[in-house]
Amino acid sequence: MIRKNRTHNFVLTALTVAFMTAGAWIRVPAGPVPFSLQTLFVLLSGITLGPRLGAAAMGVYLTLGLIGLPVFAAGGGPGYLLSPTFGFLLAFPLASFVTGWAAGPEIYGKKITGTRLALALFAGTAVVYLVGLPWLYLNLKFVQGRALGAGSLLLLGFVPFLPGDLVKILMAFFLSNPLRQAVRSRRS
Amino acid sequence: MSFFSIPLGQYYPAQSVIHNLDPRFKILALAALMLLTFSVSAPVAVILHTAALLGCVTASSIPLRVFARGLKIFFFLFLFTAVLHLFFTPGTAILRLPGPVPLKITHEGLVRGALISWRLLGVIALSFLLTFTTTPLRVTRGIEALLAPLGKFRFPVQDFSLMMMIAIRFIPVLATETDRVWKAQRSRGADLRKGGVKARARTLLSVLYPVFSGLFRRADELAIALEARGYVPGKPRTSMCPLRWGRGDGIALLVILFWVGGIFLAGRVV
Repeated sequence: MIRKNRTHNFVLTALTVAFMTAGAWIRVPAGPVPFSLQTLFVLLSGITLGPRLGAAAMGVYLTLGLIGLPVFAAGGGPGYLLSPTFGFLLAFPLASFVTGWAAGPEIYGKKITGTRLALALFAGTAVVYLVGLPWLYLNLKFVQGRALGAGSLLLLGFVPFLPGDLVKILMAFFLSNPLRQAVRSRRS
Repeated sequence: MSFFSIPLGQYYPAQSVIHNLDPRFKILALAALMLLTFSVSAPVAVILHTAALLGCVTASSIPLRVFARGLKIFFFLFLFTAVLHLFFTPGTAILRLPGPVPLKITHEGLVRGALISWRLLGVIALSFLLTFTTTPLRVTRGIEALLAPLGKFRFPVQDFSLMMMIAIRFIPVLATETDRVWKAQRSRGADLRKGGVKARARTLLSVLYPVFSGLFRRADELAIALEARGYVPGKPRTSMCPLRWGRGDGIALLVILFWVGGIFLAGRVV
């Protein structure tokens, strides 16, 4: 999403955040853990808005949650900073940036190739864990006063979320190119 | 589109000293008191700090049940803390539980768990004191003012705060729109519970497409409307209700300084 008009760019970014929070109620029943669209949006924001605006959108999203709008899984508010899983949210801007950057700039009339798209989506998801897991460790160490080993850390913060993330990557894979096309067709 | 459709988040409308404070001050005070809460461990300091916190809660004239309701979402955090400390702290056992995995509650675990739980409770109560007494728009203004120095490093502070305000304003609008499109597609037979991953993704797309194209149309209109009203990106803007540092804020600042100093001394002396 490269627009010359700066006003238009940030208005679009803001509306994307509004949609992301508003669209959270669409839940796709898939297995025991119902998953929301929010994490799917992290990947898609990077791809459709580009790295910079995608990261900005996620930054706005995080700040909205921290100032008390109920946009996170269990509400919002500054108290969320204490949550052991806050690191996964904190990773959103970076993950969106990495996804958008890896997907590459938009070239008119060209789709992102399958390999490149898959790589971008996996990279974005990896960033979520690369930030989220250390945060989990540090939170447990300093807030709770207890250090965990690598094994139990992975068991706590990685393994349970893996299947859901794979499904999300798959969905983002199918949604990415059509969405980019939709964005392009709206351009005047 | 009425003014009142702006989401209030956790805001609880009331008349109180804390409601009237400057949001910039409230954010900074929150940060300072959060740090204080995490450094306190002496029993006397804990008691004094708790008393001061309860004083603030009373001064906010927000009913306790509102605080209790807010605490509910942190239930798992407390459960997690309790389990982590009660059962997994080595030390003198005060209670042994029979079972396939021998569990014991230790004295050290009880003390440590109680302290950590108290700290968590304190910080969450503090965060509620900000979000219950300040509307999201005012917090945003406060954040904008506090981040202003970042503008020197070319961080677009004003754009960021305007983005937040637009997002806040448009959450209800887009929620209504998403709901309408979702209902329209359901009436045409869309079902997210049927089919494989590909079919479900296609169904999802049939909802996301129209909402996204509506989004782009709205963004076009809003950008034109902003510029037609003289908005120039990066130029300083005035505000309809500027933040004012009042006498109440000065008094509150003294109270906070006294509070932090007192707790610090209590932790040292005793």
